[in-house]
Amino acid sequence: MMQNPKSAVVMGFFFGIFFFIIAFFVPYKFPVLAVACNQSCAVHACDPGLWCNVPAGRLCRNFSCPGNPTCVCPSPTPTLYPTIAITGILKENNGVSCTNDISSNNLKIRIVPQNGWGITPVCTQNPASGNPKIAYNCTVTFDNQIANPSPAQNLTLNASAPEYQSAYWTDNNVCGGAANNTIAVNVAAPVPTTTFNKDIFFDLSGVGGGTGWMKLSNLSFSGNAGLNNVIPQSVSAYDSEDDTSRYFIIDGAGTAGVNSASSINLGTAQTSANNWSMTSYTRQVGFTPATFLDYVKSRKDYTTIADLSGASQPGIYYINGDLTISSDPTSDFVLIVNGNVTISQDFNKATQTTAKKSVAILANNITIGNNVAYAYGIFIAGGAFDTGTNAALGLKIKGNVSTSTLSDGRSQSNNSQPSLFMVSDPGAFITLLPYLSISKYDQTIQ
Amino acid sequence: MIKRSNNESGQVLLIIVMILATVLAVTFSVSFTSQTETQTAKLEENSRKSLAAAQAILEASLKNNVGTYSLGDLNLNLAGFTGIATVEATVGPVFITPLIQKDEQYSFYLSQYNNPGFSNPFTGNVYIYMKSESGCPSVELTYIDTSDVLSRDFIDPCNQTSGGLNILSTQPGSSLNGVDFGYRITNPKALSGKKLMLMRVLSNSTKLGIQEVNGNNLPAQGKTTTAQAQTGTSTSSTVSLFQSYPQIPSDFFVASF
Repeated sequence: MMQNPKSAVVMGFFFGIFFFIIAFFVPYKFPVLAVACNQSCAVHACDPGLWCNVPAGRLCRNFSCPGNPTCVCPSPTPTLYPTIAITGILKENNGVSCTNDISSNNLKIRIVPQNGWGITPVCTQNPASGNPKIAYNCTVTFDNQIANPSPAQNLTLNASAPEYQSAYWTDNNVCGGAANNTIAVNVAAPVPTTTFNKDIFFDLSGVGGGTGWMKLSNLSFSGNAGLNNVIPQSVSAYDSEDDTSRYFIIDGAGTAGVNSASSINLGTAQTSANNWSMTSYTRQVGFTPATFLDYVKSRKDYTTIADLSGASQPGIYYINGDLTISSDPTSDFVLIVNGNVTISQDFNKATQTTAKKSVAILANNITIGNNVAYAYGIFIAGGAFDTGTNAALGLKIKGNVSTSTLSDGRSQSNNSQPSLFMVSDPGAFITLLPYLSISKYDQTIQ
Repeated sequence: MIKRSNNESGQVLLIIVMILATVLAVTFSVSFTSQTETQTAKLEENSRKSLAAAQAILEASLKNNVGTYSLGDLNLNLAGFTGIATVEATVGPVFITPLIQKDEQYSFYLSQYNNPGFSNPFTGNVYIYMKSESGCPSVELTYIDTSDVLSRDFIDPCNQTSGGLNILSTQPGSSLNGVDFGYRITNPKALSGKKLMLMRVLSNSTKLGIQEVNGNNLPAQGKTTTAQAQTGTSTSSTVSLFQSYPQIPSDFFVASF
């Protein structure tokens, strides 16, 4: 025991100083060691009366400890928001009805959130490659543990396929309904809707007044430039001379010829069953109305007439000036027009009482009236061949068209049908052989 | 004074004779040359006249479309000229087309052409040969049968199409009537029951040869008019012209825009 009271006072003084240092300085200088002041939030729920969050360390700290007096208690880690799932099938809209599946070489489907912070949309296609495309599946995740996304969002569809003019959702997946590419979600709602069944509709090119697509039968094709003619996934026959094959040139018995052009875009379809297709091809134009007129003038007998009524006998006829045709021909003929030709009604269509005639018309430009659905003949235009414009009426050419430029403003009310259908009829035009043909000569002199 | 001897007079005479000989030689030479040139000019004139006469008969025979046509039928009052044109159908087991330009076609007749009808369809098999002016040929064949039904073949020795089916196979060609063809279809093509074969040339200008495999005649492809005219001095010219039967422009069966 301590015998000297003075020594006891001194020792008490030093003990006091030691406890003072321990009590006041160690917690401040060495906070890691000061367990009483700082506690992990995960271990120690903060009591608003005693503890607060130290912003730099995300720890709970006793208010009685020295340090930041303005700290607040941290929120607990939130529960992850549910993931939104959007699924549906892909449908082709021909303007009248919709059929399942589309055909595209470059289909893109995206979901775009209204505010993308912390939101991750992912879309997949079924099948992932190849055609036809059947369905899609998108998921949208809201990461509210790292970021702070808004739980109430508008999600917008952004889909496209170059083979179609538009892709969209409709309310209640109604075929032909108005496009509505947005759905509203709220993943923080008490009972959030997290699954959506939304089919995507793809309009064929002719739907809504655009340009339709074309089909040939028994013909070959030679493009002056690129051929851009996307054939839909669902094809309906134009008439009894057509079929439902997804070909540019239908090929019932090996009748389809070569398709040559600088570039060829038929969507996912092919030229014909044999698929004789030549791209990067530059056509050499040799036969024009002007050159044929020169040949006729030098080698053949022809008759100059004022209008079509003068072509009453088989032969070659010449008209100097523009011509509007509003009646059927009464004879086989080759007509050369130094001007433009307009055909204002169905032309040369066989009836029960009159047979169609073999006719070839060569002119600078040839225009078909907007309401003309049928023309029978060989039409050769040095300039443009204009089909006229009609959003609900196709045009059938029985014969052939050869022109520098095709202006096609036709589409069908049902665009699974071609809007321009050209069918060769060789027999009828063999009749014109003596008139339209030329001879080749090979001379030797001794 | 200089005294001449008698034998010196012969020297002068000799000189005179030599001068005369030279003059005569030059005269004869000039005369001969002139005569030759005159004769040559006359021959050329007659040749040109006979050629013109032959071409005139040929044109007249083509226009009148008759089997034979004589110079006298022209009523040109060409004294001393005679001439005649004969027109014959061109037949044989081999037919070689002119050079067909790219994107043009040649109409090969597989039946007798009666303008405008057809008869006696061909029943044989043929090889088809190809010789491009440059590069590699590709040829589309369009057949029109006697019922006016179409069918087609495609020849593409260098695979200028991708993924095409039912393309006729080919092999290296050979010489045919003096033309060295680079390619030939491997198997004979049966062409019975057809009246026309339209041979459309793609890619490069190409000359085509058609050979009947058994050496039988192919159907006539046109007519050869041979016109010969001569003067009384037996200068003659012969002009032969092959005129094909009507050729159908490719625009008939090829949609283009």
